[in-house]
Amino acid sequence: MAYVSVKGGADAIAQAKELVEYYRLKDKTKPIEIEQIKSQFRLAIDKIMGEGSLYAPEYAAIAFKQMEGDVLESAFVLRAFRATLQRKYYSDILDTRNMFVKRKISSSFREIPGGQVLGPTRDYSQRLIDSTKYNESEQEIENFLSSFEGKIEKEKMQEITSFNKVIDLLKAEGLLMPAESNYDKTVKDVTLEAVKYPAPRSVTLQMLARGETGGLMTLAYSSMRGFGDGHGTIGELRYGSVKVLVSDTQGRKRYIGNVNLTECEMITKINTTKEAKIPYFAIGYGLVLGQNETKAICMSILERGIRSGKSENPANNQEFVLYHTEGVEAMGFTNHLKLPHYVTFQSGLNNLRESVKRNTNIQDEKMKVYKEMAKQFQK
Amino acid sequence: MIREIQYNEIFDAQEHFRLILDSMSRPGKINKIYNENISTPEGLNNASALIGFALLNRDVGFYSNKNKTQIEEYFVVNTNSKPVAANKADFIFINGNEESEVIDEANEGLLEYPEKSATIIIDVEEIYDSAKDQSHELILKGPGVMTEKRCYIRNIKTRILEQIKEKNSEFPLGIDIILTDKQGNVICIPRSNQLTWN
Amino acid sequence: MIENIKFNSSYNFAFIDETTKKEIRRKLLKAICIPGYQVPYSSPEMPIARGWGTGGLHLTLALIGKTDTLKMIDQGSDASVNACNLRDFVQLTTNCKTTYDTNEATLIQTRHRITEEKLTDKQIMVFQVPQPEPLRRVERYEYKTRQMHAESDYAKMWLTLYEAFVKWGDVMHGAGYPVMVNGRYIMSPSPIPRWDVPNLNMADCIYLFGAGREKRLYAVPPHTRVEPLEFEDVKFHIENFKDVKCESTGYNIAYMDEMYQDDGITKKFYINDSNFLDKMIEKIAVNQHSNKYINQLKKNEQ
Repeated sequence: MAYVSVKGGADAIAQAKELVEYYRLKDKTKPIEIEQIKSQFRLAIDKIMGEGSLYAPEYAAIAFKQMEGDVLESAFVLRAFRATLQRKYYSDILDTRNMFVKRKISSSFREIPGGQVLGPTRDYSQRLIDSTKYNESEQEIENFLSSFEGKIEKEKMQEITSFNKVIDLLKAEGLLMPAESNYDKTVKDVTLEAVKYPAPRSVTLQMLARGETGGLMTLAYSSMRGFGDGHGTIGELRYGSVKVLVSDTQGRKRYIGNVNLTECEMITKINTTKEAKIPYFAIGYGLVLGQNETKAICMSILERGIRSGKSENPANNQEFVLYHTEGVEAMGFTNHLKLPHYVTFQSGLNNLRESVKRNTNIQDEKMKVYKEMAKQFQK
Repeated sequence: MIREIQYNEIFDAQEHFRLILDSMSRPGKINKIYNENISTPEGLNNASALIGFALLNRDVGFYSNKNKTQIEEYFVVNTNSKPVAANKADFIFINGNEESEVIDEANEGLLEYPEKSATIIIDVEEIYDSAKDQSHELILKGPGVMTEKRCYIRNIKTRILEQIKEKNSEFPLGIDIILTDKQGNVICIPRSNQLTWN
Repeated sequence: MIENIKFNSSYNFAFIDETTKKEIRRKLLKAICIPGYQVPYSSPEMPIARGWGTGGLHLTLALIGKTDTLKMIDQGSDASVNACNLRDFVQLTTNCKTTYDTNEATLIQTRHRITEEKLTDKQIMVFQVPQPEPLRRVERYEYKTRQMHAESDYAKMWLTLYEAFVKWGDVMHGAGYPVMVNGRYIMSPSPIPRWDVPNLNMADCIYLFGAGREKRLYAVPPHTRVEPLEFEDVKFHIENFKDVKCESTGYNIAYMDEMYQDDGITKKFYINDSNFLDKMIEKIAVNQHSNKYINQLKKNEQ
């Protein structure tokens, strides 16, 4: 059956919708609880919240379930939902110096204030498939938890607070590049107005923070491989929770909850110029919702690249990077190719046929001349 | 100051916007915008208040120089919009019966972004379709007008018309005008139109 | 855990919040005042994917009221799958009246077609636009194209059209043929076929354009000059259907769909505009658009 029939489109849609729901459920497995998705698919939820730019783990989990585990589609659902929410307050500026640190590492120094804290990571474990997960039982989970929790020294927990940042050390020593004099500090909200290029840094940061992880990685990787500023050094990568405060109408600060964030500060060298002879270090900044280290690192690389202003490399070009890492838009446009285009196609077809006809006429003309010439020769 | 409760922020705003859109798309075409249940401050036509309600909110700034404190408060309370200097305003409310420098100061946009410019709402005595005594005859030509459109205004200073013409001499830069009268009649003069008068 | 009440919230009339509606409305007015100029707007996310008509939807939802009658078409058809989906969405959030009848609609959202039936001064047509920038093919960066529009610097565009003529003997733009609006801005009419382009010129209705993904909206007010780009000696022309006929009506002065039959060899042609086709079949009188190209075809016919 054709997908554009004269009538019956509405019917077809309804049935397709029902069929895909059937596909989700047809194997009659137990329904997955939102609570389970939230806790056992923690990293997927973090990615969805980041790309969906809404910190709401329950809603992210619902979207994940509804979209059969497609992370980008889930982010899309979350964004559409976000657009319907009223913006009553802007939060105060989050200070990640006050982060309750769950993980922090620096590749620039062997030791940093507070030490290297590995925290929850699979960085140093072999990616061997663990077939015991096939039959994981509730009993096993309980056993693991009680043994793990038994090892925690409760009284030591109190001591962990917040730590200064590595870049503070460099700044104190005067090794960081002072901010550019023409640096545009305007704060825009990309969800409330269309971006105009060249855009201020606030736009770069917001759009990268909402960007699609894979897209960010592709461009940041291109930058590291040779189409950009090369290979920076991670000054500090930290993951942890930060308090969110808003000021009410009387100006009182209200605590509204915590968010988990991954922050990356990438140290790169900058090129010297006649005026600026010292090859200072410069910082690229990445901050994303949840634990998504790949994205935070790539964001910091791209943010630095965009500010360096050398636009011959795609990864250094603000317009190129920001437009094309916008995953929800890119996915929508890619999939719109599935919509019928027969009107547009017919118009092109019409042009092409006329062009072929024109050329055939010219060919015929030419052939006539050649034949004439051939006859003359024969004579 | 009165917070208008007889005004529906969803449906009244929608209905009035469509009338403004119609009048802006057809320069010189009279549409009627009126709500007898609101009590506007002195010096602000009923229709001008409703146009403000339909288009203002916290994202834009407005300017008014007539009965300043009352009208400012009225729009702040009812729309959340903020009063700003004339050269920064997105919407400017003036009286057609008084000459004013404000039009000269009004923002006319940038060549790259000509839409970042002011819309001026001018209160006049009366707007009508056919000639009457003591009225200016406006002649409009341009997009939205088939050949030319004539309309008639009572109580508008010639200087204001001159100022509009000057402001709109370098399209796409310019200002867009909405005229309202006491009965709720509304006409628009977008910058795309040539304005002459008798 | 979250309270249940959170999941039961209902949506605003016409889905979009009033703050955003106002922003879109203010920008639509500016678009009318500067015909053919692309106004940037916020373009909030919709529960419809980018590239599937979000821009058109933003405009429709900012315009629509309780007394409107909505017609939604995609590729000329009311029953096309995406048209159905979008129509359902608007209907669900506004409870508006919907119709297939072009003449009955006050608000028409369309993808890639203008109706064959002439629109009146009581009607608004909203186009879904994938790429609002007509210069994008000749200049890839937005800040540069913006400058070109600011300075009316259209040399690159003319050069490209000329090159196409030199290479292929014609300006090869099919759908989305670039037009000059009110002698000032080059505008993309959205990917409507060339057949529809002349109907933008000096129309009675309002034409509004929404490009959601690219976050731009623009307008052609009624009675506004809209001229396809052409040279003295290379003229714009519409698609040619003079050698074919609509299988159902025998008529051929309308934009046609070409359908291959199951044998993969035979082709049949049908009028593309489904409501126009229905009316022709039922012999209901229709006031078709007239323009110099269509008028010429009708004259040849006699």
